[in-house]
Amino acid sequence: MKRIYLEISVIYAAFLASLSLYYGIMEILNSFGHLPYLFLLTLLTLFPGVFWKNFEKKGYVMVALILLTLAALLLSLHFSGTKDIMGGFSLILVSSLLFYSLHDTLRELYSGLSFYIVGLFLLLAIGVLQLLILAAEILDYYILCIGESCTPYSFSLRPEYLLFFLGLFALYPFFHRWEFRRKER
Amino acid sequence: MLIALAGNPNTGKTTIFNALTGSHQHVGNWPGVTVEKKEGFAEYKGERIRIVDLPGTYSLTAYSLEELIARNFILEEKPDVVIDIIDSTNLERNLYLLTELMELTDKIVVALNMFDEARKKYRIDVEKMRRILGIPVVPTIAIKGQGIKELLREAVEGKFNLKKPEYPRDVEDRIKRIEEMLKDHHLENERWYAIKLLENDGDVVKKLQGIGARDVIHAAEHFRHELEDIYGDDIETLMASFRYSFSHGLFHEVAEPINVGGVTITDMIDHVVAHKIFGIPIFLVVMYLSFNFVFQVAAPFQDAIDLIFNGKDLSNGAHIAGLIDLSYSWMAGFLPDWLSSFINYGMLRGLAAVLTFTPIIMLLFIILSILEDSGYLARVAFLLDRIMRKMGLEGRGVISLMLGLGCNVPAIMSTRALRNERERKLSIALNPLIPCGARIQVFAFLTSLFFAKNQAVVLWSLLLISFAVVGILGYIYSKTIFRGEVEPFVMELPPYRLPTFKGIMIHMWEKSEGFLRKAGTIIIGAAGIIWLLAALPWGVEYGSEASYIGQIAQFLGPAGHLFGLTPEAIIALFFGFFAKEVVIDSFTVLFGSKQALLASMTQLQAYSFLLFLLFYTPCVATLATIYQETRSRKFVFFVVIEGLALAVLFSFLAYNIGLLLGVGG
Repeated sequence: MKRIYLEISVIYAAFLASLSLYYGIMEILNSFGHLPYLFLLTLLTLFPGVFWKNFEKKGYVMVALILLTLAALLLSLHFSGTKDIMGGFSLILVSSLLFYSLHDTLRELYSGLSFYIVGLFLLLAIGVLQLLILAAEILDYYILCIGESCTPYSFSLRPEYLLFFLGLFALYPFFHRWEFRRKER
Repeated sequence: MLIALAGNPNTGKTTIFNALTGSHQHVGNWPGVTVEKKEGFAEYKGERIRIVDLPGTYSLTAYSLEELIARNFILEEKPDVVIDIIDSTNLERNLYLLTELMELTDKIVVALNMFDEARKKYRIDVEKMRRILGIPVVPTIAIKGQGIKELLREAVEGKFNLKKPEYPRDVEDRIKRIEEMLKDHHLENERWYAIKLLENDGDVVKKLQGIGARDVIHAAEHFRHELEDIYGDDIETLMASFRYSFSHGLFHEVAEPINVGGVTITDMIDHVVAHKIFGIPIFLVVMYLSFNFVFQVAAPFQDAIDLIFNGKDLSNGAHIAGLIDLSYSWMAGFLPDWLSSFINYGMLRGLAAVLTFTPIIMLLFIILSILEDSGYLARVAFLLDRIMRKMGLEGRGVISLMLGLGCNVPAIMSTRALRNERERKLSIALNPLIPCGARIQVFAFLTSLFFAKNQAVVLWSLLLISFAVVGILGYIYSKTIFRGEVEPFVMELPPYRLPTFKGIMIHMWEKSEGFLRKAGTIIIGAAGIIWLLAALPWGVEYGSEASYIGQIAQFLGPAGHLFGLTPEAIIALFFGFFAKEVVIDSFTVLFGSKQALLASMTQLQAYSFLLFLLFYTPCVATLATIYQETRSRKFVFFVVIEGLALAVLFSFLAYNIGLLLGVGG
């Protein structure tokens, strides 16, 4: 596994973790786009900078950090879902797992990759379940419309859909898991 | 020809049994699932072979029922061949049982199951293993049906030249002397009896006392003390350590780890899901996501069933006729009106009300099967094991409690796998407090009406209350009426697997079938009885105060005031004693429409009702099973009182605190 890909994966995981935490909090509070939360989001996306000395490709990392922080800020203004306390708690848990994984994953340790993989799989599972629920809601809408004149179904985009598709791009280290080590050299 | 299947729990024994016999049986990851003997038949070159599935065991001591069943079957029924099914991913641990089987019989075939998974961990030299043991060894992947034909062929045509494991010379000398003494008593397999006598096996000692072999028992006792003096440890530990040494040595002869670190995907996932901080939150999120998925995805199917049976009132005042309306109109042509009404609006509507909730039950069981087959539920048992130990229960107690989420009857029966009577009774006492599938069905019905927006959260809160009560009561019971030590137990953690579609569907059907059968019999009958009670005596208004059901409601009604329970709710609870699903029937028959039911209670009253339903006395079938398992009327009475007391307490607290706070009024 090339070092550059690993380092970008770690930054990308922090980006996913920040967005998950942001959307998790927003789902619990049922509010979107407030300035203090956007500030928190920015700080968290830049969080991998704490391990700056562990990065080898510092130039690429710097560019990726800036681009992903901007992307997080742009995305945070969209996908205003409905209030869902437990849904929000689930996203916060995913975020905790991903943040917890960052340092050890960067050091190519299994313990870090374990949290990375479980956090990511949980995020993908939440996305798949939400997509299935969306399909069920559409089907239910049209069943209830039988005999009535209904307008076409309209739905609001939940952040879990976005996180699912973004999460697919973070699978790279999973396919290189054999190159990780059990303990620090 | 007779073949017995032996092996540790969770080795795929049941899958191999199914593959050999073609029968469908529950296949799971939970240890101790196969408690009873199961039989089937296989064909090989025109010969009919009887196959018996023995209970999954880790050893063949006399400590548990499963172990006794397994070893007595081999001793008494003398199968032509015993197939030892080994989980090759946990090869070393599984070899322990093989060493015990090798003492019991010469005709063994070793099935190295899950061989594909094991190959990721070790390089296993099958040929070398065959040579060392002198018996056929066949790699299998039961879940894909690979190696099954070879297994049967080796069992029928294989060459057996078993090399029995040997103990140190001091031990072997004494075993041989006991063997010599046993010859006068005409026992088959004297070596096994000699070893067991030396080990002071309670069952064997009793058996030999019965045939008057007191001299041999005394001699064995003398030899045992001699060995304990020589090795400075008790005989049980000594014999177990000799066997472990054999299996450890055999393992290192035939298996070579591939990855130096030995970290597999299973290890990595376990590192997180069994984590002391993250483990429980992950479990809670998985449970929440499961329930959320079940309720949301079941909704269109429920609405479709409702539409088919009950039709629909349109916003323009028109009505789309459902099957019940059509059937009523058709029957009205040749039956008296009351009879047509009884069949359609009594029995059929009651049946439809229950059928509407089968999508929820089916999806719930699909999710449970996925969690079970993937190996996650075993981790949950492991995770909760620490908490359960504080409650005085061992790991397998968690499994029987979790089985209770499906149905309390098999869950109570599964407590047979627990090693001691104290833990068994404790588990039985706590089991009815876990909401079964039928109660969950009623929860789904009422939460969909009263808490449509927070359905999953309300159900989740009920489950949390149930788990918390089970935990607290378990702790109290284990310090008082069921006091005692928890037996040491090694929790089996099978590797994670991707569940197969077929497997999930089979499990879902096995579990849902019972609900459907009940819907067609007990529930349809109960719905009819409730309708009659609401319609009789003739001439009164249906469901009015003058009807029998109205009179019952008037009689019982005052009892519910303290808990916010309406007379109709009390009637529903009364009928729920026969089968919990009947609660839905009662509401459907009594109110006629969902709107009327919705208007009858506030959210607070509904929640108080749900709490009452969560704990109050289990159904008749569960109580009968408790009696069957404990043979004690006092115990059954205790369970009834325990449930009622908790129901009264929680319902009263929730309703009155809610009133004080002005919540849900």
